[in-house]
Amino acid sequence: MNPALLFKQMLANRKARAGMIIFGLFVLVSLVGPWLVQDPTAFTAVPHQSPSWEHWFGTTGQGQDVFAQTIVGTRVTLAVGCATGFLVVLLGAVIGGIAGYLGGRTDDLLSLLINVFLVMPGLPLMVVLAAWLPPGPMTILSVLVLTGWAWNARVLRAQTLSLAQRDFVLAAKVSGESTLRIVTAEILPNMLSLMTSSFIGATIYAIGAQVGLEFLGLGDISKVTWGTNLYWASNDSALLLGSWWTFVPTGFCIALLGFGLTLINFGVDEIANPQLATESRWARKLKNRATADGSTPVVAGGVR
Amino acid sequence: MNRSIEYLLRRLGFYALAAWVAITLNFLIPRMMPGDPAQIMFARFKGEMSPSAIAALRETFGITDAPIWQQYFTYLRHLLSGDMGVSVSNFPEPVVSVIATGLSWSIFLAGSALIISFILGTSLGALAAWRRGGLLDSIAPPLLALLGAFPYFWMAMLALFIFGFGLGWFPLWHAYPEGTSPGLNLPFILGAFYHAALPAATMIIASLGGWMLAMRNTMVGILGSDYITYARARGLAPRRVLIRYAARNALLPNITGFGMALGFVLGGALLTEIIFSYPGQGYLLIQAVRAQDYPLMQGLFLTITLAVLGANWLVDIVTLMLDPRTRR
Amino acid sequence: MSLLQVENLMVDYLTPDGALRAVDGVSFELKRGEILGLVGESGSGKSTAAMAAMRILGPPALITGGEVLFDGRDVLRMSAEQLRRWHWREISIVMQSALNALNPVLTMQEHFLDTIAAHRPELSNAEMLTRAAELLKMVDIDPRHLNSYPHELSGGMRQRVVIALALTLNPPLLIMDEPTTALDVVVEREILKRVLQLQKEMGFAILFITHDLSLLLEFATRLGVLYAGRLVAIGPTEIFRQGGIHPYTQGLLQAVPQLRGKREAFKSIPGSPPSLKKPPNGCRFHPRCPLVEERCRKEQPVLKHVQHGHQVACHVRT
Repeated sequence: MNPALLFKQMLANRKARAGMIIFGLFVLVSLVGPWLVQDPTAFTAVPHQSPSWEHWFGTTGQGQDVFAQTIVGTRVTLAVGCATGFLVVLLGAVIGGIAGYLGGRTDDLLSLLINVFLVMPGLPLMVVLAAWLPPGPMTILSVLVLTGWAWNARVLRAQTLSLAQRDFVLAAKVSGESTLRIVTAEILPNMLSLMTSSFIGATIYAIGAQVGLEFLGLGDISKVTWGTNLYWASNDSALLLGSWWTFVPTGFCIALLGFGLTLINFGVDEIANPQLATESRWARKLKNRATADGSTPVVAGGVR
Repeated sequence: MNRSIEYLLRRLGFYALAAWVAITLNFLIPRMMPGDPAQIMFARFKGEMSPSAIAALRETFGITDAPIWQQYFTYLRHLLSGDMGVSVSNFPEPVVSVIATGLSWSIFLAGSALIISFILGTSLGALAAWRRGGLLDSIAPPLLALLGAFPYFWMAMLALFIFGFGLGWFPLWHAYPEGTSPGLNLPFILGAFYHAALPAATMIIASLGGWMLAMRNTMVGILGSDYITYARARGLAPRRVLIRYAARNALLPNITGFGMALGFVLGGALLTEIIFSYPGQGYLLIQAVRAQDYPLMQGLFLTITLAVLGANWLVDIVTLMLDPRTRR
Repeated sequence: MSLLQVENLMVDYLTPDGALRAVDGVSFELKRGEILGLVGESGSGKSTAAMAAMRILGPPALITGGEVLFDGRDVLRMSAEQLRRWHWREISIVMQSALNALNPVLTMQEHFLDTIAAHRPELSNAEMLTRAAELLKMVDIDPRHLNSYPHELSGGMRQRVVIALALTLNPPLLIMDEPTTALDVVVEREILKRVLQLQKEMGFAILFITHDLSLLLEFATRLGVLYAGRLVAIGPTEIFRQGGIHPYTQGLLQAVPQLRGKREAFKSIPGSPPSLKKPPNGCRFHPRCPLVEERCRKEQPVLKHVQHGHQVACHVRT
């Protein structure tokens, strides 16, 4: 499968299409949003104001406009999320691919490394790493890549391992094709949908972890991101003072973006396993008939 | 039985290796960073700490002028004797004693939330797969996927805002009521459950969807297998097929998944503790971050890692008991 | 009255590309105590037909037409609970792979107890255990294996256990779906011998499904041949022993190596079975048939009597 074909199929899939529309909306906001709103760091108004016509999402404890902060915060959050997702899958594909393709000793060692990183609790490790490094988006990015690659390496290793045993790859090996050609022409095209869903999964993870780290105050708190928005909300005692508008919009944005990405992944899953889509289709059609008892349904005339 | 013990020992060896990697990372991270680690570590406390105290801390962390391998052995020796240094924000309390007070609260809160959410999630997933296309199967997965997309700690903020500050149904902070003394007395125990209820509920809601979807998908695969058809063909009651043949078998890979997701879910739990000012590891973590208390941060990283490794070993034992194939 | 009567059965599989007819108008009947063999290549619909008639094939398989009567009762109108009570008391099945049919995390004993308890809940645990041990002895397995897990037994032993399980409630009909395909010839012979002995003692009927026609020639009372979802020939085994009438049957018989008698050239049928997605028009065998005529390409042949209760669906032979 090539990327263009996958994209076409994703457009045709209901779930993936809905997810891509949500994702596209956020990308658009992150690109043009900052020019359309006022300066998110300017102390323009009375602090802790509830939403009004002037300030749609109210103001922060410092008198900044929450709407502007939410819009502007999209850019860095999304950029760091996608970049992390990409790098995590790249690293996972390289390490998992080498382990799965070469097998033997190399595989044993790399698998051990993967498993050790998998079992290590991510957040505390991220905190220790981020605390020592100078604060900023680059630090967050490298910390997230370092702690997040193992899961994808595991998944992609398993896939490479099974592909490397398939007839068409064995045939290519026997006929003396170069390793580079086998990997690029035979193996990678068959991993496309898995790598796409891995990328999306890693991006969801990266956005969540990034927001968490910044919420802890480990990001650059002078930058406007969704995570620092929540950091300031909690620092300015939003809960105590009842200024819910300082944290609710950001939370909804994170959830909506995450949900959109999850929808894309559901769609990609259905494209990779057409069985899933059929299943939900016949499950809907047979809903009122006995399916739970596992007996063969009797449907005179069939289901069209 | 010999094989089982061999398997468990092999897993124990793996966890020991993982623990060693964590310990070594803890040693290497400060030394790989630009600048003098001791300078960074104690920068904030220069004026407040006597030079002899700083020298003692340098000694504990092995940050001396000795060659690096010698520093490493000094560090290991201290760790083995249970010395993780002194918390700079709680000076002069040792890190170990600071952490010890919070550890049991974390295990109580995160542990019970995790177990409840796993049991509830897998049961719902099993039912959704069993009645595929039914009401539960159509509504719950997308709804829980949406709920799961909210960050844990954000859900905690909202829950605390609505049910704590707004409605006043739940306590706003801490792990037990003021005026009760920790111990085996009823007011304290009831109070502890009351304080844990809201944070636990937010964690359960945020993580339920993941368990449910995973279980649903494994179940769907297993329901198509021959031994399910065969169990039904033998006229077994549907409940029996569901529980003993489908759910039980689908549980096995999910228990392994439970072990692997432990570290990840724990991260969310730590952040939730912060919102509720719950005196566990997460609360200590944010204190350490705010006070730039590096020894405490590193100590937390190590204890949490060891706890996760221990929990994983327990998961291995459970898998072994449930799956005869691993007993070979 | 026949024990099992299947009339014009249609079974569809729902696939991403629409419905696919795996069994297309198959009819056969089975009398008490007789052995009916169903033979065909993989994908011919023989297992699907039997399992759908028993109603144990879950979605995406659907019965879209026909009639199934068991002892005069309408199987296609049975409720879930009626099916549950009918299963195993009156009809049981030995599935192709015992390894896949047994739950890997349960012992043999648990399999037996679950089965007995489902139908005879009034029995005590000790009575159920006695019965389980007795059943294992019937298939020459030491009852100490009751505590074994499936992976701890050999392939032959597992298959014997599954046969014992099928006999748990003395049903009048046993479906055996390729019961010995996965085994080596020596073990296959031993197991078949035992099954036939038990069949004589207990008197149950067998619906025996296999791709191995030579095996059926030895013991089946009657035989049916399926090709691409359709029944092309059915009748007493004797006619098949003499070489058959339908060209496909004849092809299958020539592909059987002769151990005794004169050595003949060993021939296989050229070509391969058609895809069910796009079956050929007319007679589905016509692209591979040596006797093909113009009519075979257009008209679908129906089963017609030729001799001694032998029916074939062939334009040329009828």
